[in-house]
This record gives sequence, C-alpha cells and structure tokens, in this order.
Amino acid sequence: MLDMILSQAVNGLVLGFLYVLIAIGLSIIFGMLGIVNFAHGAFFAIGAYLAFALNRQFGWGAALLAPILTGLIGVVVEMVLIRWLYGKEPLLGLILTFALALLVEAILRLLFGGAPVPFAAPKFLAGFAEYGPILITKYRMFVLAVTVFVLVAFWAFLAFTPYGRIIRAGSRDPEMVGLLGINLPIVFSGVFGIGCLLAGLGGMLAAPLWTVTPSMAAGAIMPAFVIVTIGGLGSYAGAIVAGLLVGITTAMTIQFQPEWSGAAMYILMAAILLVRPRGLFGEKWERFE
Amino acid sequence: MSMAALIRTPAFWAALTLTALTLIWLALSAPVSLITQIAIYTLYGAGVNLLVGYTGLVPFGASVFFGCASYASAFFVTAGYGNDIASLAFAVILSAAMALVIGAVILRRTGLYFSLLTLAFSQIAFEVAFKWTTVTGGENGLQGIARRSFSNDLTFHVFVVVTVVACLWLLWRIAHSPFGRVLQAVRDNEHRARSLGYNVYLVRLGAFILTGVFVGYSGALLTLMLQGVYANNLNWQHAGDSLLMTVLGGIHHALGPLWGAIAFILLEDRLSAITENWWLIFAPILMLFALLSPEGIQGLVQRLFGRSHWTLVRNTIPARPAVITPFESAAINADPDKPLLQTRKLCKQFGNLVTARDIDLDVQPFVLHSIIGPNGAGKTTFFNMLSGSLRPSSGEILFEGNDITRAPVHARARLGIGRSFQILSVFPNLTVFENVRIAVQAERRGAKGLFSNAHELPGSTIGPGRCSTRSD
Repeated sequence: MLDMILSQAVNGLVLGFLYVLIAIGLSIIFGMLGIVNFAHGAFFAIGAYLAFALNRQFGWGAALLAPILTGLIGVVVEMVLIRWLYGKEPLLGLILTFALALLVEAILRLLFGGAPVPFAAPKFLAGFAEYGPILITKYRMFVLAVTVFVLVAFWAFLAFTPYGRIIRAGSRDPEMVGLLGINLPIVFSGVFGIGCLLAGLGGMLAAPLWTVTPSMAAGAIMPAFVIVTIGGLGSYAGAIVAGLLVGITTAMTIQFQPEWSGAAMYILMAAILLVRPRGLFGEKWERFE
Repeated sequence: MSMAALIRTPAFWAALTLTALTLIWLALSAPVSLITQIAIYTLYGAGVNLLVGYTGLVPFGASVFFGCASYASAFFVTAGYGNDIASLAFAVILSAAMALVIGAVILRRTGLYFSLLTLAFSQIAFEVAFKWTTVTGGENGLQGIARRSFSNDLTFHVFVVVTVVACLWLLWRIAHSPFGRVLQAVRDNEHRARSLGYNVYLVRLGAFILTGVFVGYSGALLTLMLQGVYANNLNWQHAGDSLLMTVLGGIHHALGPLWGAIAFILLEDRLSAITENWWLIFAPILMLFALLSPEGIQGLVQRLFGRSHWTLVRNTIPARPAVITPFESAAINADPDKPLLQTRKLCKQFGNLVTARDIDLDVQPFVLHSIIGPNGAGKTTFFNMLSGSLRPSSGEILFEGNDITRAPVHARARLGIGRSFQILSVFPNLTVFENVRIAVQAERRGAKGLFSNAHELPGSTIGPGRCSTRSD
C-alpha cells in the first residue's frame, strides 16, 4: 500500500511539474501582455505534434527542436494576431485566443487526422527504475529531471538577468517599463514566444506519456488555469506549489477515487480560493482584479 | 404602449426576426428545430450578456446554469413530479438558487479570478454529470424526456419563440430599469458607484441571479427541444459558446446575442454539412471579428451606416418637468453645537510607514474645513479613511455619534458622507444625463425597481447629503 502511494506520489510530481511548465508560460503572458491565452494548450499540442513529426522524419535528436519551433510559432502569432489587442477590451483577446485554440486543433486534425498518433520514448529511456519502494518508468524520471532543471534555469533567468528583470517589472507595470526606454513590442513578442516555448516543451515531454491527439490541448489548458489561480496570479513560487499540489492530488485520485480524478483539482481550487481569495501566494495586482 | 415605442424595443425586432426565419424554414420545409435552437441560444446569450455587456463581469462558465438547469428539468420529468412545463419552472428556481449560492461565494472576487471561478464550477458540474453514470447517464446522457404538452415540433417551436421573446422583453425592461442602470454604473466605475451609496456586491449578485434565471430557463428549454440531456453543454469548450455568440453579435448592443446566435448556429449548420472539421473555417471568421470589429456584427452594420455607439442606454433626455421643487437640505435643522463627524486617535500605517498618527478632528455642522499639507502629508489617506476606502490601523470615526470606523463605503455614503474625486471620475459609457441621474437615484430609496423605466422616473427630492469630503 505504502509503496503504491509513494510511487503514485512520484507520478504526481512528474505530472505536476509538467503542469507547472505550462502554467508558468500562461502566467507570464497574462502578467505582461494582459492576455488570457486560451490558446496556450494549443501550443502544448503543437509541441507534441512537432516532436512527433520531427522524430518520425529525423529521429529523436531532431525532436528536441520542437519547443524552439513552438516558441518561434508563438512569436509569429504574437506579431500577426495578438499584438493588435493590447489595451483593448480584454474580452477580445479571450475570443481571439479561444478561436485560435480551436483553429490549431482543426489544423492538427487536418494534418494528422483525429486518431491518436503513436509516440514512444527513445529506447534508452524505456523500462523501469526502482528506488527502494518506489517504482517508476525511466522516462518519467527523465521528465522530472528536465522539468526541474528548466524551472530552476528559468527562475534564475527571471531573478538574475537583466532580461528577467524587464519581464518581472513589466508584469507589474508595462507602461512604466516602456517609459524607461525599453522596446516593449520586442519584449512582448519575446515573452509570448518564451511562454509558448515552455508550453511546447511540456507538449514534447508529455507526448510519450499522454495520447497525442488534436484535442490534447484541453488536458493541458484547464490544469494550467487552475494552477495559476490556486498559486495566485503572477506568482512563480505559487505556480510551482500549486502545480505539485494539483499533480499529486490528481495522481492520487486517479489511483484511489478514479471517478473524482477529473473534478478533484476544481474542488481543490474552489476550496483554496474560499480560504484565500487571491490564491496561495497571490498579492493584490490591479490588473487581475 | 404606442406603436413607435413598441418598434423601439429589441424584443420586437427579435420576434420579427425569429418569425421571419421560421417562415423561411417552413417554406423550405427544412426542420424548424434549427430555429428553435437559435431562439434558445439567443436567450442563453442575452442572459450571459446581462453580466458581460451590462455589468462588466465575464463568466467563462455560465454553462453551469445552462447545464444544471437542463439536467434539473430532465430529472423532474423522469421522476414524474410534474409535466414538462412545470419542469421549466423547477429548473429556473433551481438555477436561481444555485446562482445565489455560487454568486455569494465567488463575487468576493472580480476580474480574472471571477471568470476562472465560474469556469471551475462549470467543470465540477461537468465532471459530476459525466462520471455519475447511474444518475446522469454519463457520456450517453439521458434520452426520452417526454414532451407531452406539445403535440409536435412546431407547437413547441412557437412556445419557445414566444417565451424567449417575452424573456428578451423582460431583460430589456430590467436593463432600462433603475437597477439596470446601476449595473452599467458598476461596470464603468466601481469606486464611484460605491461612493454614491450603491452596494456593489449586492448589485452584482442581483445581476448574477438574473443571469442564472434566464440562462437556466434556456437550458431547460434545450432539454425539451432535444427530449434529452447531455453533459457536453457543461464542458469548457461549450461553456465558451454563449460568450462567443454574444461577442460575435456585439456585447454592447441589446440585440447582439440574437445576431450572434443566428450567425453561429447557421454557420455551424452550413459548414458542418461541408466538412466535419468546420472550425477550420469558422475560427478565422471569429478571429477576424475580434480583430476588425470589436463591437461584433451589430457594430459592423452600424459602422456601415456611419453610426457607432452602444445601444445600451438612451441617448435622449426626457422632457423637463413643468415644476421643479426647490432643493431643501435636511441638514438645515442640524444642531450647530453637536459635532457631525469626529475622528478619535485615527492612525494609519503601511508597514513601518506611518501616514496618519492620532488624528483628532471634530467637524461641526455649517462649517467648511480644509485640510492643507505638502505632498505626501497624508491628506488623501485621511480622506480615504473618512470615506471608507481605507481601513484605519487604529482609532475610530464617529458620524452623528455613531461609530462608522468599519462601515463600508456605500453605507457611509448613505449616511450622507459624500465624496468627490481628485481626478475626473465619471461613468464614461453613460450619457451626461445618466451620470447625473444615477447619482440622484442613489439618494432615493424607493427607486431601485426592476421594471420601472429609469429614463422616465419623476423628478426627485434629494435625501440626506450632509457632509462632503473632497481632495484636490
């Protein structure tokens, strides 16, 4: 029993860290650009499908390019579509990205068909690893290591580099950042691209674990929203704590109360927001109220 | 109601449009249920738009009412509690009760938190409906809900169109009632509405419950139309449908939801006949509208005719009354020796920064006070404590001898502590007349009706208004 709980907890961690990757991107895009990106899940799916296509054509080494390509697609999307909505009615950004999400799903359906595409982890990551009572696939360990590394690296980027400082400042007051002489349009494109890159990375990593279908975006975007809300909009630490909480809760309910696995995170969210209306680490930010 | 006034109501145009569509479909001998669906979704959208367009709250998951009401009416009929018409009433009551409970909880937050919380509730409802197979039928839903009161699709269609038009008329009356005007005031400038004496939370809750009522009714109608109920409508992808339709039609126009529903459902019907992957064509259309015509279809048409304004308030000013009673302040009888407003040891600190320390002040009636000080002296902090937008760290505030230290802004405004703002603070999307009228309405307790016509309320006598603070 105990080893089952432990193993499932580790599975939950893996799931949670994947969610965090997606949620962080959603969070910085919203914080900086003020756009609720409903298409964020679509970029997750794009990442998975790009990895699938590159892997089929050139092998798994090429598949590693998938996140970067997803990020570039994100930059293009920002320049062509999103850019025109800054400072306008927030509802329009919502509609635009919602429609974009559906369009991406339709395009993936057109290109790859509606059926799941097979996507296996590279051979050297196949099989199980056993650590004491914990039994886990090697691939999950790999995902865990990569996500933790990326999150630490991205945190360091935000905390210590001048670019990270621009993003953090811009999340609080983009106008002021612009007045200080920073070229905001480029920063905005960059932030949207980084957000999409993280989502694409999540998609690539999740591809061998989840079924790769055009509608897989839904499985990513809803947890991301929930995590960003539970953690507190705009909080990096909050997103990580909330992500792990949601991941483990989901994994545990899948194991022990499968009927409730879908609803669990929403109940968690409603309960936490009842006690802490701005989420676990949320502060009062004008633009979220 | 005169003919001209009738033509002005959006419900009349909705009736005309839906009738015309019905006749066309009958003439083509196409199934009229498509038009039934349009009517139902028009009401769904109009209910949602009461929150989006009028109140400025964007629910991502209004489908929680739509879906739960549709299950409620299905359970009601299958359990044999009553006939199909009674099930509609049951669903509406249930939906309103749900709106009361959910709204009371989540309206503590607005903005994105509000939107995401509504989404969470609709997802919980979806998961329950989808997984609780023994009760809800799960993925397959419940079929064979008897529709005994209606002999065929056409009689049901007529029933739907008539009641939907009636609901649209009601919604329109509500929108133009004193309550409806307050909704728009809250949307435009929450702080000002509050400092005029409106309880913003209750106003929003009222709107949320009304949305629950109308969306719930449309959800129950859908059950009767399909003679079945499915979890799909609760899902987040479909939660967006009503919002998409409303924005497509134009959120700042009373008829927006109608145009949106027509465009959405007809396009869905036509496009899905061509290709299963119809979002490939429809999504770009939606995106073009979001980018090029933010006011939706109605905004586009208006622009073609060189007019571009919202149609949520009247642009006219009612006739000037023949006699205007001179203003007489109730404060004229105040005892000049009794202080009106007092502060006792009032303190405010932000962390280590003390902006107000032990302020003792007595304000007598008929006396004008000025607070003077350099930048950063804490004048505005002091005013904010008096008007209630900042809670003091310690000390107390008395008004006519009553402790109001913890009273919310709107309660103080009702006592007669007015406030004007340092910078321009108006309701930007209301007419000048409405800006003034809303302030007068706040002073009159009897004028908060749901159905009276705000535009034509008789001239008013002004209430307390005894003490006003202003910071410049």
